[in-house]
Amino acid sequence: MTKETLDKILKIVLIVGVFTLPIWMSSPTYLQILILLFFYAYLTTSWNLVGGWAGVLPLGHSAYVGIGAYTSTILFMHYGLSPWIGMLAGGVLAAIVGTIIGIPTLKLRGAYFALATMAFGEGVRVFVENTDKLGPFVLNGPRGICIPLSESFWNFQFMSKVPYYYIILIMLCTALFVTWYMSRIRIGYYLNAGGEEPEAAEALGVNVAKYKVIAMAISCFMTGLAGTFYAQLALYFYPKAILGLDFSFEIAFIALIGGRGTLAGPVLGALILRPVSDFSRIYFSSFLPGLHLVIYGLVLILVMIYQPRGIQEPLNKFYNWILDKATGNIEKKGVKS
Amino acid sequence: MAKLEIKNVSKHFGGLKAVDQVDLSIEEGQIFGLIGPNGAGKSTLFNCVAGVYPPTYGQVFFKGDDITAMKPWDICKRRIARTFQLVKPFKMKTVLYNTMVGSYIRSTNPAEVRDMALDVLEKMHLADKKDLLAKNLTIADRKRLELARAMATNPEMLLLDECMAGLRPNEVDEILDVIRGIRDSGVTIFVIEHIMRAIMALSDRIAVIHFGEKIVEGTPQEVSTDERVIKAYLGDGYVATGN
Repeated sequence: MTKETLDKILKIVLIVGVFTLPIWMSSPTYLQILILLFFYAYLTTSWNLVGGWAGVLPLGHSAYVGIGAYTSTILFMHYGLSPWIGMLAGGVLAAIVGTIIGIPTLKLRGAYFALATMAFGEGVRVFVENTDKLGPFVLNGPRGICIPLSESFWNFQFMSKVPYYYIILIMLCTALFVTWYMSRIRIGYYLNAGGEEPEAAEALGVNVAKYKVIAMAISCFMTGLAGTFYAQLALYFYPKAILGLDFSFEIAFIALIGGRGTLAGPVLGALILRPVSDFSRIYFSSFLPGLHLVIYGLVLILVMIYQPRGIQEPLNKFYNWILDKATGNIEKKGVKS
Repeated sequence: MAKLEIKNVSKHFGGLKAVDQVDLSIEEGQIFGLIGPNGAGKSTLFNCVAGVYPPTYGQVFFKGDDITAMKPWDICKRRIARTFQLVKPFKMKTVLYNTMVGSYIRSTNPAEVRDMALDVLEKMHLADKKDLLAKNLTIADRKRLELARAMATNPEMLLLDECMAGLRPNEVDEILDVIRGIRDSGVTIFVIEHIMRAIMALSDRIAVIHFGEKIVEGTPQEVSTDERVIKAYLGDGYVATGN
């Protein structure tokens, strides 16, 4: 067996395993943990288009999650519009806002862009927390919105966790596919080039600012969709939960630790960091709330010192080593027998 | 009609006149050299042509069209390519990737772009290094990559900013051959260079600027014997007076 076939078999096993998981794992608690893991992997993959490729550090993506959640929920509660359609509306609105914010801020470099997006994210949170009614729409300020229960596919509400699991899994796969596809065509090359050496890219015919804004719009659209998903999963959300700074930070942490600008980085980052967050919440939330962010910070420092390109790099090497080892052994055995 | 026409271009940074009323005209198929002591304003003039910053006064024409103050990417789309004095490779990407970024201006089809890039790398003798990361290249190869990337945009005119600085003499000779080859394929070349041996051997015409002003223009022979040039480079004491 060659290395390539073993690699293929392992990947197929992984995909089949992930897609059939709910059949043999019935605990809703663990399913919920996995759903959130995929949710963060999806968010970070969306973030990665700007934060990874375009070479800037957005720290206000929670705003777009919030825009998605509030848009679909308001449309559902006021007009009875299905959250599936509201999801698209939220995504489009997030993309529009992202573009408007991106046009002036993406010209800033380094920390200034990060600060500007952070300020925007916080601005949105403070605004929503202090607004009970926005025109005819009820936002309920800091109390948040409770979505009335009525289970049906059309209402994007399910009693079981299983449908949510599949929805977010498909969303994640789609996001990964979009990222992979974009990395192979012109926009991917231009974004990566502009992120690394903007002057050189401009001299090669790349309107760097324009491509960054396009990336921002796509990223915000995808992030907006996640907002609706979160709202429908929890059925209750409030500004602190989905518009908070720590939420934006968590996305950036996962990307930086997993491997910024890579396909596998966001998923691996979520795979490693989400359990830390979930278990620290289960065991320590009563006396050490926010402990997971402290742990993230420590991990981030260590990763930045020893693996500045994220943990995807050593893991990739390790995986290749295992493949070599396994195929090598099997071939040797074949020769002996 | 001149390929590139620089008319009365000035660039002031506050009170400093980095470039002051320079006129140049470069004919199709020429290799035109621009020399001058350090800080004379050569790179500033280049940057005014390449769109990095707009000139304070004056105009730049390419094939008769006014390209003054156009953005760098629009100038590149008009088929003027440039290299940087301090090479700026996309370090974490392969040589092929670097070159493909340049080729994407000609097509959106990845397979086509890949072929074009490979073709350029072949001509630059970089094809065997196509899978190396740019950060792992030697300085000579980085300069070559800088050239390959610019050539990948398929330019009619190439602006070379000190593409031989820091090279060993035999490496300089290799690059000279490459540049002559590019000219023979029909590209007009505007080059800044410090290495006198190289620029004298290479150029059809040379302009000398000093304190932002053009002091002499002519053939390499004329320029190298001009009194003002010797003064600018070596000081007043070195001018042969004939006494």
